[in-house]
Amino acid sequence: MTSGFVIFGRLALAAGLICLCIAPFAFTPAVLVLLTQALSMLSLAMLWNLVAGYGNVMVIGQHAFVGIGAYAFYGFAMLAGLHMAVALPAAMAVTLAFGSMVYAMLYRLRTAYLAVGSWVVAETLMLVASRLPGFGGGSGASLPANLLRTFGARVPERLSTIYIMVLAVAVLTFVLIWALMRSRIGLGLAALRDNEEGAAVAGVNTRLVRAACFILAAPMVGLVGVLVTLQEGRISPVASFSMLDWTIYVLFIVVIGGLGSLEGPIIGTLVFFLLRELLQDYGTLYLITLGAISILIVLFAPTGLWGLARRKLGRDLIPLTHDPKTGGAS
Amino acid sequence: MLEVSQLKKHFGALKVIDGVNLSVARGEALGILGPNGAGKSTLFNLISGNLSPTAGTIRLNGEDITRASPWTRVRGGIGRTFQIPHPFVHLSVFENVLVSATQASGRGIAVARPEVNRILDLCQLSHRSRTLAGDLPLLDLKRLELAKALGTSPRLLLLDEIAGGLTNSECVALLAILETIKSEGVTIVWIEHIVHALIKVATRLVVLAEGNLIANGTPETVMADAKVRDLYLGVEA
Repeated sequence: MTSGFVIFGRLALAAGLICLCIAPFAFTPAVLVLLTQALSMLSLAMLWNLVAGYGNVMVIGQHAFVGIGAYAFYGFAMLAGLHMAVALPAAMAVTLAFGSMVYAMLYRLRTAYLAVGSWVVAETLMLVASRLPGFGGGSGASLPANLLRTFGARVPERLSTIYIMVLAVAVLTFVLIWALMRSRIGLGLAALRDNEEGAAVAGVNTRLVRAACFILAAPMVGLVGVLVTLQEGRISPVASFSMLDWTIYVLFIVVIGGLGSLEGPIIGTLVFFLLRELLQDYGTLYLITLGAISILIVLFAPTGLWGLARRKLGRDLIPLTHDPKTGGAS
Repeated sequence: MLEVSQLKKHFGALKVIDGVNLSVARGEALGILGPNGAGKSTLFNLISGNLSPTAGTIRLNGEDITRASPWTRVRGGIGRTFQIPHPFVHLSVFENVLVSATQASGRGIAVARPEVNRILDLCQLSHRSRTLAGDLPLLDLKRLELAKALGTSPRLLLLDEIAGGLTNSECVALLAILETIKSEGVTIVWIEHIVHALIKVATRLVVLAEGNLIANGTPETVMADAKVRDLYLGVEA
């Protein structure tokens, strides 16, 4: 029975991926916009889960790197006039550099101190962004129509192109994290997640793996920032560095889905967008409901919805385990 | 092999370790006795790098490791168990040992696999290899703690109350495992309250009380020491 559920779950994941691949041909532009937003949030959730769930680096300043990616892309593409193919990796490189600097400032902090410290850094960077010359100040700046037209002459075409890019980044993020977690380094990360003191005396260089998680996730978050900018067609300090959109909602997704698992962010994203679609017309009631669900999950199911399901199933949908005999995933 | 000199660990006014000097020779099996709160586990935490000392030095094979990280010390050959087991609860028993067999040595997962299976056999955990560590009973958690320490291929093994809570027959099984490890040339330092088990393995005993060593010698000499009998065993001299 249990293995039947696992097979069903894996088939559902595969079917979901197929649906996402054919979405530009099968769905209306409105559905495509929703899926683009959902996949962007999924990428951010997977990356925050890597940093906080596996690396034990509890940051709540991830929105800083979304904003840095967006602003760096605008600077390279619009102000420096670089081609998209150059501006995009250059924006990732800037986010990587900022990620390294921020980690160098924060790495000694732990738990609540790290959370608040990373938040302060993100808010400071937002204030700096609002004063940068050439970026439109506090109200931001729009991407010119000719840049957006490189993704398609008409709006539906443009939506499809951006959707495909977002889907590719989400799949790439998933595959990179899966491959990392299957490797020797990932084994050390899983140990770090479960018991940091025990991991250190098992030989895990906890300082190095925590730093690697944080610094390597930064350019991927920056890449999502670029894609969000392309979806919105503009940058602004408040939207590009939005704590609510790029950190709080992401945190909600990972916590309700299941921190420290590959399945958690996927389940959390589904639940989050389902609630958003059902409750978004109710204003503050929507946010209160999200908050109440988060509190209930933390109190009664701290391992999230996937943690509850996994206890029943006894195994993962997305195999990460190392089998004693064969060496393959079980 | 291990040289601890004038080692101190103070938490504010509380002097948990207060000037301990200790040497352990290669291949030796040293037992550490002491009442609760004597500083035994703190001493292990200082040697393994989980705590930094207030003063003093720790040398391993002549090299000063006082400020080295725990993982550097593991690479230097120090393996340890914790009094309260520290399993990786969401990983299987096999993966728990695989962590320690791959991280310190830099070996790949496929290369480390036979060694992990050998250690699981030695620690009588093969039948549990696929079980999640979070689901293990106490005896198997203790065995897993030992197996994880052995996974790091230690030359100096620090055992912190590994026999605590075990029944007599479980204790006998554990002693057989420790004898095998000892016969492979691994140096053992063992903190234990179960004296009859400890003296079956230890060739020398030291007694720690209030952060200081109060006795050092063969098991017979130490157990006959008037101060030890008074302070630790509660037997008046």
